[in-house]
Amino acid sequence: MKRRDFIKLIATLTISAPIVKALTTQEQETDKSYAFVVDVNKCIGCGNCVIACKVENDVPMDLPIARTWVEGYSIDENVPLSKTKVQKIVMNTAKNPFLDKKNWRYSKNFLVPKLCNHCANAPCVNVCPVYARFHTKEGVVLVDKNTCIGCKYCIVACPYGATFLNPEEKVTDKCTFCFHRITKGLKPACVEVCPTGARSFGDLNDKESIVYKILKEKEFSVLKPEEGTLPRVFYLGLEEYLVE
Amino acid sequence: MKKAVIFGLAFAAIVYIALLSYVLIISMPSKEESKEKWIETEKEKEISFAGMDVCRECHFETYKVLMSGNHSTVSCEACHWVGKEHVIKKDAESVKIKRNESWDLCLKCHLKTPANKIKTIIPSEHAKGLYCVVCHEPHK
Repeated sequence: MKRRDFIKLIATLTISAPIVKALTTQEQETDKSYAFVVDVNKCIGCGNCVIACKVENDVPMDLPIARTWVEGYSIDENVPLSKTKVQKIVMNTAKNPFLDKKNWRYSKNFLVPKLCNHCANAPCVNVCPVYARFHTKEGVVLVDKNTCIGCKYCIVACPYGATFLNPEEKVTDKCTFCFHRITKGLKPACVEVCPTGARSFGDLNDKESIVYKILKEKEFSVLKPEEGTLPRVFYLGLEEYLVE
Repeated sequence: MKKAVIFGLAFAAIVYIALLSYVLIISMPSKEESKEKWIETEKEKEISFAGMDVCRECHFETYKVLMSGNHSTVSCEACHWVGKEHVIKKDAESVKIKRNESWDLCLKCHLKTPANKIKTIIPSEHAKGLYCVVCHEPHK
């Protein structure tokens, strides 16, 4: 009889545990959901974003590591696609390789600004063994640098190559959407200095925000949708099959 | 015999409750706490680019000219660069663009390259030896 009671007790506890947990840890719902829109056709390759990001976030200027970078694609289009030649140029330091004509080898040329995609299903968050990476309420993926041990699992896991090891701090680092700026109502540094408006940033839940309007009107795509990462960075006018 | 069973059950119950409370109470908040702490650290980081709304407070006339011209999408700090110091000291030195710098600065965007789709020039064919600002008003 006693044993039955005990089993009953255990069963009650087990069932009630999730209910108690749900009641006690009720999270405060926030009404913000940030998103980033990149218009590929507007990018002119001035490199302002790359340099401004490094200034704002204290990333070493002369090393080829960057929170946001610009990729230039020069393409010799052939049919079939497997015979198409693609040349990729990357700007991730203060030196701008796009100004040199010799770097553009073929006829079809375009630029793709890149940054951390702040995936809703982020591989870097999933693989982090010490739980240093997490989502904020607004959907931004952050790295807790006090917890990060620099094991580089996230660098391997990220399909976009958006995370890197900071050689000075010996921990991984990546774009935070300029978290210290956006929480104060400012735009991220790269958006602020972009001269053509190729980058825009805003709150998807705010119907007056620029990203809401753009994404409602125009056709957009994301990088590597096949990875199932559900990015928060949306691209306009991107020919996905050509971009790495 | 009975005593041993009760003792064993009591021990099992203690272990169970201890594990349950660890999962529910201890582990979750400690993880959440370090996240909250990091979010605060991240928020405290220093801002370098002041943003156009701050510039507008004092330079409203220039702002109006800028907004009505071809450079309406270009923010102040895209050319004048970091405004952190200027906002505090209100001196011209840190944001001033000298006439001899205008060549480099304008060509950052207006140099003809294969991927550039805005109005561009080839420096060797366009008014060699003159500063851009001699003919062009950058705020318009």
